[in-house]
Amino acid sequence: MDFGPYASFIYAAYGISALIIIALIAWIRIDRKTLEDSLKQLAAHGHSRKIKSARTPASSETK
Amino acid sequence: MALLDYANPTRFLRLSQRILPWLTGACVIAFAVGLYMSLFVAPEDYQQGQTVKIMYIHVPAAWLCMMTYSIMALSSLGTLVWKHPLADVSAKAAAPIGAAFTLIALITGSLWGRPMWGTYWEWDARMTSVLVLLLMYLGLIALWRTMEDPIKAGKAAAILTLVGALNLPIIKFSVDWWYTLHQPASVMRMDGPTIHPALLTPLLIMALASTLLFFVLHLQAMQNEIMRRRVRALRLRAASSTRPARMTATSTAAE
Repeated sequence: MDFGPYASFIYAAYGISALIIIALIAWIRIDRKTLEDSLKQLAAHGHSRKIKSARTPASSETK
Repeated sequence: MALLDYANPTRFLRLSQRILPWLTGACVIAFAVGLYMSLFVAPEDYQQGQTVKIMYIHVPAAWLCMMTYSIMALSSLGTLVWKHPLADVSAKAAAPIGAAFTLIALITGSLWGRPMWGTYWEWDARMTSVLVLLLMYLGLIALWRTMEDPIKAGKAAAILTLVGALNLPIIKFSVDWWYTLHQPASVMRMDGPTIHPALLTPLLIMALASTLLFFVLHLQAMQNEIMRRRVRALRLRAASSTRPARMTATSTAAE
């Protein structure tokens, strides 16, 4: 692959673009992991979106 | 199924989860073909020489930075006019991706400009208006981060996004309205592209790959944003359920 006298500019353009895209993908992945951990932590403390439906039979039993 | 049915975040998550593997696969294939054609198959340009290879990333990035902002502007209309529950999620998720594509367009443009124009930067209308677009993206990201309530932040950001959309025609037509270093449009023209098919084909494949990448990242970022709002709602619920208990404990202690 011979890109001539301006090869360094071509390599820099592709390299920097790849780095920016990789950083963006990594940020989205890390964000997802953090959010999933937070949801798990909340669920472990009894706070989840299914809490209402889970409590309904129990509350009817106490009645 | 009506469009409004997709407004349900749970349904959106299920649907996007199903679409994402296919989109990701198509994106990887398109990039593999596009990069191979750009780097190994496409010939040199008779004026630009091998530096034309920078165009295969610069031009799609420049198109996408404008397309992303257009999607954000449409989403902002969805927030303000139709109050679509996923509209501000879409706009917020798109902003960092748009900023990244704008940064790529500016950096690769500078790297192409140095050998071709003899300068990394010139304050011409096209370059300055794209720099303004990057600042708009950064400002919107900052606005979303500074406001605690996502609904209020979404409305404020929607207004700012729509005001900023005035920049889009300026970017597009700056090369026609003012004298700039940039050449006029050579692909999206009324009389058809003026680029040779040997150079145009890899460019269009790279544009398709970049567009697919945008949709993959946008869907994932939207999923994250929905999860973030669920975490916030659950934390608020957790805080409100512990507050009365604490208040009771305090009042008992006071008695």
